Amino acid sequence: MAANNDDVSGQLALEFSQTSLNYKIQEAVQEYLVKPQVTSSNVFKSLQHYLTDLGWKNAIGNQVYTRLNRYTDSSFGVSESSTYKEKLTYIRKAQENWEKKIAKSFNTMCKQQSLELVKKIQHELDLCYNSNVDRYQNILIQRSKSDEWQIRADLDSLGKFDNSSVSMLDLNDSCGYHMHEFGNLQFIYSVKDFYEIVTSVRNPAIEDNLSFFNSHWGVMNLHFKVKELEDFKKQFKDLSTNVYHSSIKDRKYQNKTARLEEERLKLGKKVVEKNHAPLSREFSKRGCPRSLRGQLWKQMLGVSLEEVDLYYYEQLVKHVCSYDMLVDKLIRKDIRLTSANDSHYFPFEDLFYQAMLAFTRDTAVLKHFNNSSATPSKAYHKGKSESPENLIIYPPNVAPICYLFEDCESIYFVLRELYTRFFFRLHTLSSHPQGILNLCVTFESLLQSHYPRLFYHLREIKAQPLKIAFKWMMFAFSGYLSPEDVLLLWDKIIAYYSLEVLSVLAVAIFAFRKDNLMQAQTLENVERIMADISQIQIIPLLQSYLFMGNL
Amino acid sequence: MNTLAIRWKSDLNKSVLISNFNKRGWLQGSSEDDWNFYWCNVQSARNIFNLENGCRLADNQIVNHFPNHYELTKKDLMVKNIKRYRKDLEKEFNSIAKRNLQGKYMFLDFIPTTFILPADYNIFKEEFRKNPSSTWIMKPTGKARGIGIFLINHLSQIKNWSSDNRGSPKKETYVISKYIENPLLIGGKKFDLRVYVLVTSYRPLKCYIYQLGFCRFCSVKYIANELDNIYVHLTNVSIQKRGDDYNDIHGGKWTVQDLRLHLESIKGELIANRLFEEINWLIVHSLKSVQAVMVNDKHCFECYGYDIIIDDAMKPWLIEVNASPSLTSTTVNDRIMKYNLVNDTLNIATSKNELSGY
Repeated sequence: MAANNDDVSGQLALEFSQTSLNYKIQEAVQEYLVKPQVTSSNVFKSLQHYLTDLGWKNAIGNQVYTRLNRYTDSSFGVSESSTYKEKLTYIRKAQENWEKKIAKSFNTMCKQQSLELVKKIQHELDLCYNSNVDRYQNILIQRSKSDEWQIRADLDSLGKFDNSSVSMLDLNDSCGYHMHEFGNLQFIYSVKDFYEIVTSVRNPAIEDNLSFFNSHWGVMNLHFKVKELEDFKKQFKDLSTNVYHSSIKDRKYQNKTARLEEERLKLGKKVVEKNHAPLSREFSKRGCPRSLRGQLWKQMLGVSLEEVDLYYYEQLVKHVCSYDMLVDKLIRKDIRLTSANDSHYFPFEDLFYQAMLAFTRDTAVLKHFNNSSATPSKAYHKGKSESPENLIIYPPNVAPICYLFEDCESIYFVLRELYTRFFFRLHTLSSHPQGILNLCVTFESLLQSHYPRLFYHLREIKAQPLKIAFKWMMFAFSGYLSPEDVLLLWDKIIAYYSLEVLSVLAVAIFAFRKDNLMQAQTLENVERIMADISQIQIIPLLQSYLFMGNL
Repeated sequence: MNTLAIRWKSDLNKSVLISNFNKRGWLQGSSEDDWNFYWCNVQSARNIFNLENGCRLADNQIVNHFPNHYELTKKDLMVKNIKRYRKDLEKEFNSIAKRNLQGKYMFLDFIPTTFILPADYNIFKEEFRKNPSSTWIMKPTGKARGIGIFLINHLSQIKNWSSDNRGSPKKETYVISKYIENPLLIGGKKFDLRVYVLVTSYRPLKCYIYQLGFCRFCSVKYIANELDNIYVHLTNVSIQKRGDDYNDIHGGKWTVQDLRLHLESIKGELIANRLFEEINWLIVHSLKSVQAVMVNDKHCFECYGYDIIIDDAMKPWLIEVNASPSLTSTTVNDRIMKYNLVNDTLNIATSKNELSGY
């Protein structure tokens, strides 16, 4: 939106003035200006040179660039007014209803379990916090122990991993075909609930009986204009097969690829040294080498971990220690049921738990709602004005990040950026081209136009493809692919600044298994065929789907 | 009945073994001595190779242990052999046995300082006095799965132990090793590495390192000075299983591929590659140290389970070698991995000599 250009630059300037970089530059400028060789005639030019030489120009560029991404990828304004957030009334309504439903579910749970949303922890308050990370960890451990004890005293929840009785999300319910009952376990919502909401959103202006629109075989009732295969071919041209792509492990050609990988690593090191966000993104489009991925991601997401960031994180941890929130228990439960039980992610359970707790205390997360159709649910602690807002948001399933970093701070900030830039779109309803609604429509339209026989067959046996693919997309394939492939996939998401690759990959997987799927006669057969996709190597698959045409 | 089929015999009633035998169409031997392929435990191996027994293996019989495998798999003998191997190389002025400025072996310093008790008690006492605050680990030489292991950091604890030991009728030899106090931690937890190594011949040395090893995690966060909590220090699955925090879905087991992905991501490819290369060399050196003493029976092969700990400087340490790594499957993934391990082992082991039925 052209009219917003001034808004955007004004907003950026405002945001920039609050960064630590701004202060640092001001300091540097002041220091420079008092030097004797600076005269009033050359001050502007020499100052420019000075800033460029010290790398400040690059740093400013990165700051602006990473912030700009949030605004320029769509026509979504930065205005606070809700109509700007989502222009389509019926989608806005659907999102509001959805939020109400979640809030209601929360409140019922609080009543049933006689818990409060936010509660101050009395006995922990006297502890003083130094900048010693180990101490935090100890405090966290203490706290979680006392928590567990408390919950155990409150409720009689039994069962092996059920030391809290509630969960944010029912993950064991794969699209709801077999509900498990875990004692008095409750879930805020299941994948199936959200699937039903997503598939029930419809435009009231379009009548059902219009035959033109009924040419859709899928379950989505929306008629967005979505990208075609040709568009994706152009968009992902760096995946073309004549381009070397990092981390393709092909034993047969190991000697040949070893040299290519070596060269790529060399180039990658140069790119990392430059610390130039657009360059890093361009490089990462062809995949990040394992040993550079962490640094490249940080550069692309604008995570620099300066002193002020570390201090900020420290404060969050402090909040975690002083306020008990219902959502903590939900998160603990979720992690216990997912990452802690996953043979790929269990070593990171505690790190991940800490990062997630800090995430719920971070008011900066609220900012992303400015350009999302969702509104945050807030809870204030009664009587205490300094209490942090309680964000009741869906916990992102981002355990794969833990593979990249050792320290909680890095994990936390990368998690926050990934969530507020991308993953929140996967569980809020919006007409944004990367929102879950659009991803689902894209998936169905790609599958229908290129694999009509497969789609028709699945529809005939009442196994709608979206039923299977929905959970993959909703979790950005985390937990479904091997950790390495999840990271490779997320390289694409960050480098292209787009979630669309999720739809493309989902279609490619259906195409890859189409011979088996054509044999399937029931929904159960289909589910079994698609149950384990962890062996799939996504890069070769995407390459052959997009460019070889042999799927 | 097909009389030409290969007959198998096994002391272990493990499904990963039996399903592999069945897959090959092998038949279970009908009597005690009716076998071509015997997967036995170490006690039976001792009986088979007992000289008094006088039984010689026929050409078409193979067994999964070498007659004196204990040279490598018994804790005290392994240490003796490695120490001797180093000295021999040093005498030859072999450059592999070079020492650095601190007097440590540059390439052969891969086992923690170890003494045998009670024999080496005086040398140990001297060593201990040099670093009085250090922690040491005591292990009975002949036992496995973490039985009888404890940590000490005072000489008096040894005295207590020895007076207890003298009182009991069974006098046991122990090894005492410098405890790796700075292990590499992942998510705050200690782990060790289980690497499977198949040896089909010692002279010439033929060994195969299995790619699908795994890490075994402690279920409790690592705190160096909590000596009494075994769940913090010992990674043995048989011990961890008893802990409250044991999770039977993954069993605290992480694949080596996942470890490698993580290490390459946080430490860089160079360091990770060097680590795995050092692990390979450590295995080769440990095998070469027993090459001369091992009875190289052509009817034998052996699948060892190496236990390796990585410290926070990314240096691998050989802890011990097991002659009968557990074939019990604790989880689904574990079962698949062990099935494949047995399958690959059988493929290699049976290809070396023509194994056929009567």
